[in-house]
Amino acid sequence: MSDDNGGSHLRLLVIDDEPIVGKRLKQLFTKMGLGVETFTNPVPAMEAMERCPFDIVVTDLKMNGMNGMEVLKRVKDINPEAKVVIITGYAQLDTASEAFRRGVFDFIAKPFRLDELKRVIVKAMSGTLLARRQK
Amino acid sequence: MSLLFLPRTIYGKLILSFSAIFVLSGFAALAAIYSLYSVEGKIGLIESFYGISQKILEVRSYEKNFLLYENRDELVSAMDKLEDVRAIISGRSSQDAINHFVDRGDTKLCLTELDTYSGLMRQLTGPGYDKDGMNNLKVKLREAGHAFMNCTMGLDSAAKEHIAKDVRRYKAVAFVLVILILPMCAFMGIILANWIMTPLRNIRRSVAQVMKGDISSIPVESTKKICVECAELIDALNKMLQTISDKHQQFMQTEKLVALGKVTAGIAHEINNPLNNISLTAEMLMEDLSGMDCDERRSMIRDIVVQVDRAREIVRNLLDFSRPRKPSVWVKVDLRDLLNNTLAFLKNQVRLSGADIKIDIPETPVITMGNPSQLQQVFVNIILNALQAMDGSGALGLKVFLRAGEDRAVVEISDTGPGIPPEVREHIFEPFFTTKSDGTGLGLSVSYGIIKEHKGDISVSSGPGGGTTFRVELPLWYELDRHE
Ligand SMILES: Nc1ncnc2c1ncn2[C@@H]1O[C@H](COP(=O)(O)OP(=O)(O)O)[C@@H](O)[C@H]1O
Ligand SMILES: [Mg+2]
Repeated sequence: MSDDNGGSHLRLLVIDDEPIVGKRLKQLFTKMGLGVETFTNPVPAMEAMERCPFDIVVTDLKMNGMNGMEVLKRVKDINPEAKVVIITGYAQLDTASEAFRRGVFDFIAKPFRLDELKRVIVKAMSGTLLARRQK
Repeated sequence: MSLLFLPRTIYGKLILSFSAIFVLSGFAALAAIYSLYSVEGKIGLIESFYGISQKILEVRSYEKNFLLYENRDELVSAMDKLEDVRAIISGRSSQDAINHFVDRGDTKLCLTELDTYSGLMRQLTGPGYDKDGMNNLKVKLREAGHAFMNCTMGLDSAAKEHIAKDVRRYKAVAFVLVILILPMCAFMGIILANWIMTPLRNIRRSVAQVMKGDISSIPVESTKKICVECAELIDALNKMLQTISDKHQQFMQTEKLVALGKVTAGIAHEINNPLNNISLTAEMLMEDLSGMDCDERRSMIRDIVVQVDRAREIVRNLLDFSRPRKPSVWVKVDLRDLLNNTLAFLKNQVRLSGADIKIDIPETPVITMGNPSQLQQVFVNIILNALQAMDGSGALGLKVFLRAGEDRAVVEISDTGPGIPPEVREHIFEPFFTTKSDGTGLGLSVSYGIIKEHKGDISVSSGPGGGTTFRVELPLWYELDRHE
């Protein structure tokens, strides 16, 4: 990974077909110093991921074209270190446990509080930074 | 006027008619019995005459013996017998049959003949006649005997003639009775059939009207006066109609709840999304209110308002769909709005299914008359079936158009699923027919009922290579109006 922000600059990908989610998360996490990109369609998002892998991915579960589980798989294929957080409007227990089996970092039900998401993202960030420092 | 005293029950009418028939036939039977009795009496008369002629023959044979052998004892016996005969003819014997014959002139004549005959016999039994006197008397005796016999034979045939006349009369009476009673019975039969059949026929007509949907219950008022049982029958039928319609109502409600259950995931998703947007935006505002400029704040607040509208719309749709409605609430419905609402209601379901959607709806309003929530239920059912049939990917087509030349709107909903094989197709509108493990088999049967109630048609076509198109036809509003 080649970035000029001293290695602490992490990249966050947000995929949700609700544009407002992208807008708000971009506002929030840009302020926290992350490089944020948002997509409403998972297909171009995956293309972007392939061009330049993200460290943290926040994705909706149910979307047109590709669902969150597939996104999880693709992301892990491209960057096994990436932390994937799935947010969903309708959480079913079996999809949640399936997601954890596939190595999801966390699973959050909509509507969620900002603090909740922030805590998860901060945890993911520190995990990534720790791993990177150890390397 | 006699109609005023008609009994009001079928039972009463039957009793009345049977009593009338009983009286008539009783009358006929009495007449027959009377004729039989009198004929029997006349037969007694013939028997008496037979007895008389028998006795007279005996007398004459005594007379002949006397004439041959001049034995006076024979004459005594003959005279005894003659007295018997006299007793019978003069009516002194107990045989009534002959009595009313006694008064007749020819009977009296015969009695004088008898007197002459027996007088001669008495003379002959007396002593002392010379040969000529004797012969003279003998000749007279034979003549008198002959005359008397002829006279009684005349009586006999007169009696026979009399009887034959009676029998002829009875025959005529019987004939007249038949002529009278037959048409009377036929007439009564017709009246009776009418009394009973008219209210029943009325009921049948009303039932046909109910089935056509012109009326909702069978009118009872006019029947109450002429047929109590029919009124009771109508009451029972009306109660049954009510029960059926209640059941139908329950059925539709059940079906709706089942359909609703199928879309809960979609609905939860659909409501949680705007809620999430609202909460995210509000929290962002709170966190960084001072750091934003006015425009940014305003745009975020507008986001919140829009998302609230969106959630409200979803809830309204949901309530519209699930709320039970009286079937009689008919309003003008623009099929375009109805279908757009339906799609909004199912938007997430469509999205989850991964199907593409192709919509072809005209620019101009397509107005029909009906119950919007029921019509929506139909389209929800068909679209859910189509999505379930495609399972994963495919294209859902929705087309609305007016049928050229006819005042009907057509809604076609097509899918690219596996299609419906012919042996399944003939059953899909039956209640509880389903090929799905979690199906109820109610969707299409309820839809069929609703569309029929709206005087429309629902049909399905399915190509051999797959794909199914459901076609719903509904009369346009102004056509209904013109027919009113
Ligand atoms: N679009 C379709 N494609 C294939 N089969 C269909 C379609 N729509 C209905 N069917 C068949 O008709 C049956 C009855 O449908 P329905 O009355 O809605 O009950 P359910 O959906 O509960 O099975 C279904 O089980 C299915 O076999
Ligand atoms: Mg169905």
